[in-house]
Amino acid sequence: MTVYITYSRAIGVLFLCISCFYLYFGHQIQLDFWSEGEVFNARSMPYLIGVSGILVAIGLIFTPTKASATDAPHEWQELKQLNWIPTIAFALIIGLYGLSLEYLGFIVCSSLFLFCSSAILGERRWLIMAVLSIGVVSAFALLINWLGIYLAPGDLWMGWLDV
Amino acid sequence: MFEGILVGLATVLTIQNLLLVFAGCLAGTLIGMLPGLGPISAIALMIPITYALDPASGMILLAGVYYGAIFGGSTSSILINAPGVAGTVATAFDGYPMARQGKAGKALTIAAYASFAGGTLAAIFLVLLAPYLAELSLGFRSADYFMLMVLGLSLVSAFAAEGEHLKALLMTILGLMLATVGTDLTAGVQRFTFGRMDLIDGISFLLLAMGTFALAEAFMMVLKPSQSANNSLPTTDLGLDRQEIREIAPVVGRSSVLGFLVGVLPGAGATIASFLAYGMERGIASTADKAQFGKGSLKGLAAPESANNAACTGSFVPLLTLGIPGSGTTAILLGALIAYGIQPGPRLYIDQPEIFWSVIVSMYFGNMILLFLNLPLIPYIAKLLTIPRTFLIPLIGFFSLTGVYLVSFNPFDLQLMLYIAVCAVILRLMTFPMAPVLLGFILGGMLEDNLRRAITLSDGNASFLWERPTTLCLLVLTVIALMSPLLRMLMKSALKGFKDKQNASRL
Repeated sequence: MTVYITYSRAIGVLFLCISCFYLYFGHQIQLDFWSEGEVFNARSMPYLIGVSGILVAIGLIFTPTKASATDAPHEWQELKQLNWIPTIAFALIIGLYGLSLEYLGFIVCSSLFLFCSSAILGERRWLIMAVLSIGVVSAFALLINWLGIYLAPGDLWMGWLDV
Repeated sequence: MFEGILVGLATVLTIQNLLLVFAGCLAGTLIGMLPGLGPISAIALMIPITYALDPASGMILLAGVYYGAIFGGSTSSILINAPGVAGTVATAFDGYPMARQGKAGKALTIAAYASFAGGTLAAIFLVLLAPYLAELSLGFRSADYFMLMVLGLSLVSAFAAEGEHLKALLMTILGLMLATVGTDLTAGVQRFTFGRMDLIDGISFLLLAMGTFALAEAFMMVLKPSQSANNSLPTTDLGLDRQEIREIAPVVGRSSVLGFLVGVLPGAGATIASFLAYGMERGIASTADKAQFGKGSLKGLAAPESANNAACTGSFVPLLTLGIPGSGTTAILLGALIAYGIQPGPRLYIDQPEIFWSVIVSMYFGNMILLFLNLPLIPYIAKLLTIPRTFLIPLIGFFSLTGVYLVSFNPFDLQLMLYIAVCAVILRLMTFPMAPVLLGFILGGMLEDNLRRAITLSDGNASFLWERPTTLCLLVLTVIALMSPLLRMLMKSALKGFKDKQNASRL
């Protein structure tokens, strides 16, 4: 009998590992000496969740699926046809946004984020991109300021101001 | 009672107060549309403004802001799949697919009508039943709450396609796991923080909601450009025909009753109400209707919208009659009332009837003005989706990231949100539903608290599950909800066997 690795089974195996790790780390939770004898302590819920996770993951792995011999490889083939390169680039831009937000400041960093994301997605009307990026971010910053929420200008500009 | 309603009407029906409720609804809608700023933030921002007003006018303004912010949250859920508050998560399940089919205007219209109807019915219940329900809600114990949460979790099958209930269950458990990250407030110990200071407070709901819904949706739009092209469809179809009204009217009625009753329970609130209403409607829908849930069903949109609005009104029952805030928003309102020198509780109805009734009447007026205000604006709000995808996707990303950042001011949250969004995209590509993750996450904390209390009170004995009639009823409902996919499968195979036998005997 051939066992086909379908999406469900792959995630089932992954989740089984996650549940085992979760249960292991749940057991590592430090308890105070008076909590150890309690009927319900900080470890109890993680135990319940971890065991449930293992049971459901095993159920998912061993449940017969509708996938036939042709379906299983087809599922994985579909993934190759997706637009991966701009998606990864967009994810990287978000990662960079998170890393540089405090350094560059909200307005500069967010404007750059909007501009670069549009460029990644294939937009080439540079002037519109620049006006929209700066305009939206400035309007949003003004609104936030009006609501009384403080946005730091960014470490880079703070440094310049100090000089 | 009629005298009281007349007193309330006399207070509310002045030009100043009508303008205040109008301004409150408008400000609330605009603030609520921004991810991260829900009713709590909107009301908190408005409280200083109300200090210049008399108590009744102040409460009228805040009621307008409250309803406006809830409707604003629904708008961002429907248009960009970004539920900024937990109560509007279920709205996105069918609202967003409708928007993608070019029916954003219709979805917003249904949301407006369903919210109005839910709020109206709940206001009537509030007037008629408030004192009795307050007493009843106090009788709800931790064991009952625990079973109510388990019932809510067991409704995950509502979010799964036929035969994929295990996937939904797995995602619920993932949500429960994420809910345990952070400090256990009862024991004061850290769990699953791996020594990181950033995780001590746990993962915020907004971060998870934005990561799994809004940002993941932006990624999906980049991954599958052909599907996101539908966003530019015209949104001229705003009205509802008779058939559609007939279809959603009973849904609105049922969901409003359920939403109001859940809202009355302190701590339960709009989120559980909207999930329960969605699950209930899917559970009782015909096979053809059931297949539409999650793909742009009118019933799937109307149910959570009316339930969450009714629950918001219901949460005023313990506040006004007992002085107990049932939700975060009513806690803020309690603070505002106390700041005015008003102590909500059993004496409020007797000592200051004009406040009691003006709050109730202004809530109803808030609902009505919200409807009149938003219906003409819907075509313009819906036009947001006609923005080219090269600008729309970055804007969704920007508002999701900013919404999360403005709550914590911690760049680590943005990184965590990115990881969550990437995992959500992978799971969505593998046809795993995301809604159960949020459901498990929202209910996880409350579930643990109530289980801990119930077990401690019963000294480790599991009999608390069946000792009280309310708990037992909820337990039976949970077992039925959990077993229903299995029972349905068994019934199907039994029917098939019976038909095969009949055919064989005919031959």
